[in-house]
Amino acid sequence: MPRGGPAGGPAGGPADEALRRELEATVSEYRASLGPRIAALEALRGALAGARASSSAGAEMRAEMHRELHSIAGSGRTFGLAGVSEAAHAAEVFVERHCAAGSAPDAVAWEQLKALLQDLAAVSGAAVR
Amino acid sequence: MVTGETAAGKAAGPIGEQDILGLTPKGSGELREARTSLPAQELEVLILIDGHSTVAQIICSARGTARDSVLETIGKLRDAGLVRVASESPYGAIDAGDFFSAKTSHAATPGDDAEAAAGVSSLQHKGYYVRIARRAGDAPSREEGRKLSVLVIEDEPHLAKLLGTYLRLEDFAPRAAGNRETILAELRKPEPLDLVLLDVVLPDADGFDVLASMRGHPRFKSVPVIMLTAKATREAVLMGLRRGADGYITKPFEVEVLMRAVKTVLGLEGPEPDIELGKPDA
Repeated sequence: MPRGGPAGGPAGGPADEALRRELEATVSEYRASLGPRIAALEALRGALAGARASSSAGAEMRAEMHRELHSIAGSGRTFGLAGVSEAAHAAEVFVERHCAAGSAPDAVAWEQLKALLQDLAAVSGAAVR
Repeated sequence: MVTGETAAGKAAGPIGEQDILGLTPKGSGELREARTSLPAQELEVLILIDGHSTVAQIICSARGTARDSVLETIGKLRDAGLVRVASESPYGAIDAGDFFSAKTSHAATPGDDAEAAAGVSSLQHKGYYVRIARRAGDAPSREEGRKLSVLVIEDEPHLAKLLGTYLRLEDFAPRAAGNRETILAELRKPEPLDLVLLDVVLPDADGFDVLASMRGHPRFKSVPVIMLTAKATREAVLMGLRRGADGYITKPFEVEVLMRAVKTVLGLEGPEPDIELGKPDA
């Protein structure tokens, strides 16, 4: 029985070595996926800021944004990106607070969310460079 | 009132309903080290102790458990050195674990009847993290050569893939599902299932409902389940354990912690001997 992780460094036979390479590839894929995912979040924010608060499309987009932030917050640290988890969590909490009960943030809040997403993009960009 | 003797051997004072309880470092460790041997009720009460709530509030939050039983459990936890009355603690009312992990905390006021009546509302603050894993029973029996099968129910594809690879490195046979359709497809397979790692927030399903359905199904009622989720509130943790989860790991997590939890739950790696009992807490 094993033997380490992506950051770790277990010794093992050829099968283990192949699995280790697979781990490294998965970590790289995850890191590479963050840029487009965060860009999509920002696009969603922009669309939401212009959408009517009560529209069902708006509610769906808010739910999608929340799900995606929740997903990044819950996975970043596992891939060695603790700062990404923290920044995504901050944005997730903000969306939760401002989108509760189907309401939508006002213009000021959308700007605040923009800043949080910019933080996330900056942390993510710095981490994967 | 409950009296007893502390792990340090000193006679403990009585516990009153207005006392505020805190976890000792050992008590925090019991919730964070992915290997606990505490019975379900003691674990539940330990989760309710946050360094802010009074004993009365904890009794209200322990739904379905009689007051005297909760008090007795608190006494046992104190005797084992896992819990102390905050006023007896060098840490005062600060919970050693929560103080560093809670991002926003709800400071309940002792004697606040409304809050006590609300019970679990005080459990909903964010930033609670645990790594709980209890041995589910004897290690699964298996024919020689069969690897233990672990179903990873997780909708983040990279995370699911990472966990699958790690599990293979640990000599398990991982399977994966990320939505209602694939969960059903995996559960309908005739192959034995030895453990489920279950995310809560899925695109078209709720992990707690999946857990409840499994516990109501003759084939899956005894299959160990570890909840693996960013639902980081005491209320969510309690919901998972009350519905029959054998472990609860809040995200984000380190994979090594999860692997330890997997082995603990499967009985492949038992809790370490309780060598701290009888010693004063650090």
